[in-house]
Amino acid sequence: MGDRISSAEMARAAEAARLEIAAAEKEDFLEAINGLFAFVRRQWETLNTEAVTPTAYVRNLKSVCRPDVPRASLPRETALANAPDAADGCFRVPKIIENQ
Amino acid sequence: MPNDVRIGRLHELLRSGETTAEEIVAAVLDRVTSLEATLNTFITLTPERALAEARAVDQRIAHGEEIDPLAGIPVALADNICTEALRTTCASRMLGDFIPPFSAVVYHRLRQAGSVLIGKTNLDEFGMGTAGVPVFGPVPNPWDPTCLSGGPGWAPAAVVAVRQTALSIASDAGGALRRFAACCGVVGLKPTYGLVPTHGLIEFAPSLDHLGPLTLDVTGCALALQAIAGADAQDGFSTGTAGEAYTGYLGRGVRGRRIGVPREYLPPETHPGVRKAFEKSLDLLVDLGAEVEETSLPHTPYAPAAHLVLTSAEAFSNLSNFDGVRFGHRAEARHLHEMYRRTRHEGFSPEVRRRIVFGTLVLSGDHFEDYFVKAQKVRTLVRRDFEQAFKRYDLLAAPTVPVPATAASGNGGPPEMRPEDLPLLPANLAGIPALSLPVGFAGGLPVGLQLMGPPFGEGVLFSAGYALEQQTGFYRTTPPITGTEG
Repeated sequence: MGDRISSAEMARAAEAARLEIAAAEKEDFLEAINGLFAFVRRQWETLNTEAVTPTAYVRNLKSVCRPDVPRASLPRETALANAPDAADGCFRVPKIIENQ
Repeated sequence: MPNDVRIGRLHELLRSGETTAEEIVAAVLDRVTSLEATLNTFITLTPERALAEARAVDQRIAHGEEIDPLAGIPVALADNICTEALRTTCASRMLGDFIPPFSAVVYHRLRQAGSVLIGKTNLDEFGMGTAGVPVFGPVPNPWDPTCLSGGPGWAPAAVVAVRQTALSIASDAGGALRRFAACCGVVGLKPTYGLVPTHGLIEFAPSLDHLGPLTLDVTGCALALQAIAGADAQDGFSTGTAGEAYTGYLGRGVRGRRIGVPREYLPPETHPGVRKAFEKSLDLLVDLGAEVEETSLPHTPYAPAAHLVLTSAEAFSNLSNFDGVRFGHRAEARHLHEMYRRTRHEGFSPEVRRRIVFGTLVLSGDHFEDYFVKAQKVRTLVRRDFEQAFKRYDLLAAPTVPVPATAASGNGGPPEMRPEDLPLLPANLAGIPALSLPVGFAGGLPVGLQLMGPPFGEGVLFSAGYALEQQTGFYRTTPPITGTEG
């Protein structure tokens, strides 16, 4: 905890999140992201949480199983109704392999 | 146009035949028409559908049917709540033309109760409370139309304040619902986590997001919660029995109730007018028989950073399905990977993308323990603070927002970095119920009192809120922009 995020590290994160950061906004983005890290570090500077158990969800739920009852799913036409592109009852996307 | 759109009162007028649902809906639609150019509160309006639904309720009344308290009551839904066959945008370019194939559980329940949808309200993109240029434009504060510090986020509260509806439903991942209720002078409830199912809410941070009602008075809030609370099989985190009679708590008062005032919720920068209105409301509670004393929730100052880290991490995960394949915006691209990147670049605002990138980083190997896991540990500490406090107190009280709307820091960054949002975030981290109700004015703008209770303690909040409201009668006060009739 304590180091600044580098431009390369930010680019890797953006890539992992399938996001583009335009050249013109790179500097502002990096400043803002580092500002968020600095804010968090400042706030927690004096806080020791070593012996604390993390909380993911506030309710202590136990996983339970419900009976496996078959039921109708979303009709295909309905599922495709919002698709930006569809063909033959499927979502159509651009080609997957680059440089071809 | 009558200004008294309290749900309980409208229900009585409908039952006694003094008015019809069609008249009520026509009146609020008139108010929408006259104020929409100034306030910009709605993204989508449904006037014809609303009038048809209202007439159907009138027919049921004419046939002698017993109607639900919400039947014929106009409702507005924030535009991140799915409505089948009706556009739902999340105020984002990403979902500009999205027509949901199903309705959110909360809307389904409201329809079953007979309430009438007026339209979908404006909001911050995905309800994040983020900075930037709002896709559907800003919404001024109804008490001071020159004040734009809420971005478009005021809308779900403003529609109730100016009587464009009697009931509004909005999300609260980081206090937005309560913040805007306080700043617009209406009642707003963030229920216990899971009490109102969020299936069909387009969440960005599912472990912190809640749905709740905004109304003119506490009775209306209790009536609305009665209709929307209770577990649903489509939401694995939802809980509670449907149909609990929350109105049964209203007349119970606060005699003998112990109320703690956490000192961390009254920072030095608290506006003197807010402090005065808050102290006056505490005096009223004491007069009504409550015991009030100062207390401490010592981990409160660490909450904003934990909230920022957790919401960002959850946004990274939860917004990953906006990729241009199945719904929403798609950018032109030569291949799939480029399509993902460009679609998300064009569809999300820079502020949303920044939050996602930050979320990706705090989840990555180098930062996971120091940021994400530590945020979860802070969450534990915040939650324990409340558990300790509720061993001693029935309720906790604080100003909802320590400054009036005009003094707010505006939209200059993530809400977690605004000092005035500090009192709002811990209730989301701990999942406890929190009610904001108007208790006065500071510099001509409304001041909200936030009452927080233990999990599933909504009834106690309603008892105290109702007792106070009987003293203040705030629901009779209207923003000047609405006129004085009624």
